[in-house]
Formats: sequence, C-alpha cells, structure tokens
Amino acid sequence: MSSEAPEYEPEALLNRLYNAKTFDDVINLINDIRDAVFNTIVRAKADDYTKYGTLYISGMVMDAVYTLLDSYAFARRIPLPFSYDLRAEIVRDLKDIIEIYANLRNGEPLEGAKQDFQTLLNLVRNDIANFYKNLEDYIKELRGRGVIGFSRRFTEF
Amino acid sequence: MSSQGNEENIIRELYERYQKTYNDPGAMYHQIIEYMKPYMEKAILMTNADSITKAEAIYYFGDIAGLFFALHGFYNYITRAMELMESDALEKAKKDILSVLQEDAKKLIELYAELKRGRPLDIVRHELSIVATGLRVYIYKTISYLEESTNDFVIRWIMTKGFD
Repeated sequence: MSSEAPEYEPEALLNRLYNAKTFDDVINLINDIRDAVFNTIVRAKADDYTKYGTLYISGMVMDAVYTLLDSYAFARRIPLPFSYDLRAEIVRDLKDIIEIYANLRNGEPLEGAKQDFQTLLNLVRNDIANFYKNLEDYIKELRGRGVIGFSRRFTEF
Repeated sequence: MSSQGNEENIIRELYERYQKTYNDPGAMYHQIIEYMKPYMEKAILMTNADSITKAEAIYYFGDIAGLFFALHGFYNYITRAMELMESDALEKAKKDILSVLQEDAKKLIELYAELKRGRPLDIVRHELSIVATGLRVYIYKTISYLEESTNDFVIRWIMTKGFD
C-alpha cells in the first residue's frame, strides 16, 4: 500500500489514535504507521547511510512501542495499579511518531527525523524500564505489607 | 590486507565475541549486535539488490536489534524478580530468553557471513524477517510468563494474607 493513501494522512492517523477502542484498533494503527513511515523514509532525498540509518532506528522504535503495548495488555489483565499511566505513554509515543512522520512529509530533512527517532527510542525504552521497575516495586510492596486491589477485567484499550 | 581477509577477520571476531558473551544477554547485545551494525549495514548496501530490498533488510535488522535489546531487559527484570518470588514460569522464561538470544546471535553472525560470501540479499532479508518475527513472538511469550508469575504471586499472597 502506498503512503499516499488517505488513511495514511497524519491527521487521519491521529484521529484513529484518539478513537482507538480495542487493542486490535491500536495494533492495526501501529502497523499502518510503520508502513507509512517506512515508505516515506525510502522515498526521502538523502544519502544512503542517513536513509538506512533512519530506517534502522525507526524499526527499533516501532518494536519498542509494540513491547510497551504488550506490557500494557498484561498490566490491564492483572490489572496493576499503574496501568493507566502506561496507556497515556503509549498514546504519547504514537502521537510523537505521527508527528515525526508529518514533519518528514512536510519536507523536514531525514537527518532531523533520525535524531527525533533516536530521542523517542530512548523515551520509549525508559517507559518500558519504568513499567517493570513499577512492577518490581509493586511485588516488593505486596511482600512487605497489605495493600492490593484487583478484581476487574478489561478488554478495551 | 585484502578486503576478503578483513571480512574473515570481522567474522572471526564476531564468533570470538559470541564465545565470550553467550551467557550474558546484555553483553551479547553490546558486543555482538552493536558491533555488527555498521558492518551489516555496509554489507547490505554493497549488494546489487534493489533499494526496497536493501531498505527492508536494514529495517528488519533494526527490528531485531530492538527486540534483542528488549529481551535483554526482560532477562534482567526476571533475574531481579526471581529474588522476590519463586516461580516456575520465571525460571522457564529466563532459560528460554537466553537460549533464544544465543540462537539468534549465532544466526545473525551466520547471515552476515553468508551475505559477504555472496548469498542474495532477498534471501537474507527473508531470513532476517523470520528472526524478527520469532523474537517478536518470544517477547509476547515472555510477557505471558511474567503475567503468569505475577498472577500466581498475587493469588498466593491473598491466600496467605486474606482480603483485609
């Protein structure tokens, strides 16, 4: 599919993000963002090393977001008390990717996008590390004293 | 030194690094994946493949690096979590992560060597996509193990402490 398709317009992707109701909605959105970003980078005017370096980092970013989403699904199934923060982080990260994509389409040099992806990669990795640090603290807290609340089950995003 | 001799040195260096780090996922990531990145990128760019095949191969390699990094993070978390709770699921996850990363680190070195020896990039790209998909599935599986262990821990905790 071409990134010129209407559903790949940044505004359309943002609308889908804000209106996502289920995990499937989000996974389909991430897949479409990945295709759109890939196609835009491939067509950008830049030297090979900048172009392929950007592709490499964008691949890392997309996988980090998938991992965060898997972690969020896990947090909601238990559910853990800090799962809502994770949802906000996923929305923010996807919004940032769409923004980088929009800037690229508006002619931003690929070198700038590469830097933006690198910054975002560090942020998403921090989100993941924080989530598992929170989980570790939660288990320590349970071991130490008696605060717990879980009885709900979630299916929606 | 000839270009081919240099390439053989890089491959030998990668195997030596594997021998030194294969029991440590973090060291494997830094010493093998990060070390290999510029050589793999250059090897891909120097093939005669079309630009989309090159782009996809590099994208999948980035995919793999990201997943490798994530699994090494999970391995560290599981190591710490095992000090907090006994869990068969965690033990299995830790053992499996190490085994998957060892296998894939070796596979990447082999793919680099094959690429340098003239294997067509479209085949290597396909192999890279398989490695990436396998790691992606394994991330999901690892998170399932974490969920199982956390759930077991919380249930055991409730059975011991009650709901008060």
